[in-house]
Amino acid sequence: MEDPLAEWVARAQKGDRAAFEELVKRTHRRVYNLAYHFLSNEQEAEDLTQEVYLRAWRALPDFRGDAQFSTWLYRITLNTAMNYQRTLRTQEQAAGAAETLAHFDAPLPDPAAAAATRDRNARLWATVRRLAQRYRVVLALFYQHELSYAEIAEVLGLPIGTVKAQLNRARRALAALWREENGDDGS
Amino acid sequence: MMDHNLHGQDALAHYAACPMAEWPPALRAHLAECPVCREEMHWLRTVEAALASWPLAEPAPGFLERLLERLAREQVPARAGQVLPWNIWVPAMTLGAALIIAALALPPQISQAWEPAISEWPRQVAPWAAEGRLTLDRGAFWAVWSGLFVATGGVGLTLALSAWNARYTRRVEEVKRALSEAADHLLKMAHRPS
Ligand SMILES: [Zn+2]
Repeated sequence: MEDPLAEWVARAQKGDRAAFEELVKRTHRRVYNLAYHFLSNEQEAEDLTQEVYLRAWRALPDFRGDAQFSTWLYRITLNTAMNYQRTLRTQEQAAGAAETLAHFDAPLPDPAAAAATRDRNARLWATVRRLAQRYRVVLALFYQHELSYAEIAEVLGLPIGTVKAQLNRARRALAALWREENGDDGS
Repeated sequence: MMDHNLHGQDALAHYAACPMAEWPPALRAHLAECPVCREEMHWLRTVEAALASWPLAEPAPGFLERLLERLAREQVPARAGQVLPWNIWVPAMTLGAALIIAALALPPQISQAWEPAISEWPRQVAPWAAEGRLTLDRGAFWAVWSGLFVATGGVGLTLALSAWNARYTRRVEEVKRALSEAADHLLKMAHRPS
């Protein structure tokens, strides 16, 4: 598949900062999104995104274009996120910090945005944060980043079959949580 | 007939994500008669519908600006086929310079002087200073010392550059911040009603 960013990548590889900035502008929301679903924390996701692009800039000469640029970036994002989380975990253990309460600070649904579906969807998206990390990430890659099974397999370094199974388990886990939150009122 | 225990609920999750037109007749038939799977499918479909319009997480305002600003401060240039980094070429150049100086400093008659100088060296290095006696050929002596001098200087330069590179970014930021604070302060003083 032709990489829509190939032209910018080639220029950035020659040291063209403006081209790299263009790549950042076109991809930062997705990198941030993935970092956010991995870490469940906005500030940390922002820091992580910066780190991802610093690494990408340094590693750009090594990018050979056998994967899409965005896939390559997502891989860097997840690798960086895993390192980042290891560091955080060590720090938290050292400080004896309590379990993260990230999932309690989901944004409250806006009452003015009346539409019931909108409100319900917003609540459901917030419920994703209660899922296990591996489920959040695979759901984000499939539904938000619209990657194919093969691309997700490449980003996560997993066989396609495992990706499909994980996606189905994530859907079931989310459905179970949603059902639990909503009782049996049928919505 | 599709047994929900036999087929497992992963199959339901899979079909929940597909258009109903793609549902196999066996699944339809089973759903028609199994309230458990029907219920499960209902929740899966609700989730599916919401995920289909799941927007990207919104970063805080000014995120892109902060990101670009941070990246602009990055010193390392990306270049395809990048030349060797400075922490390799500086010591390499130093070593090269040391060798060249050593070669230039060696007098032409060194070929004769070299043999005895080398063989006597271990004994001569320490006593030579005390006894004020120099068996080692004078040219070779200077060649060795100037080589050592340049090499030591090169190591020093390398270490200094390394420290500078790491602190440079932060220092420049500190100076910039201090300057802008001073400017703010002056502006406030100028605008203060007297
Ligand atoms: Zn059933």
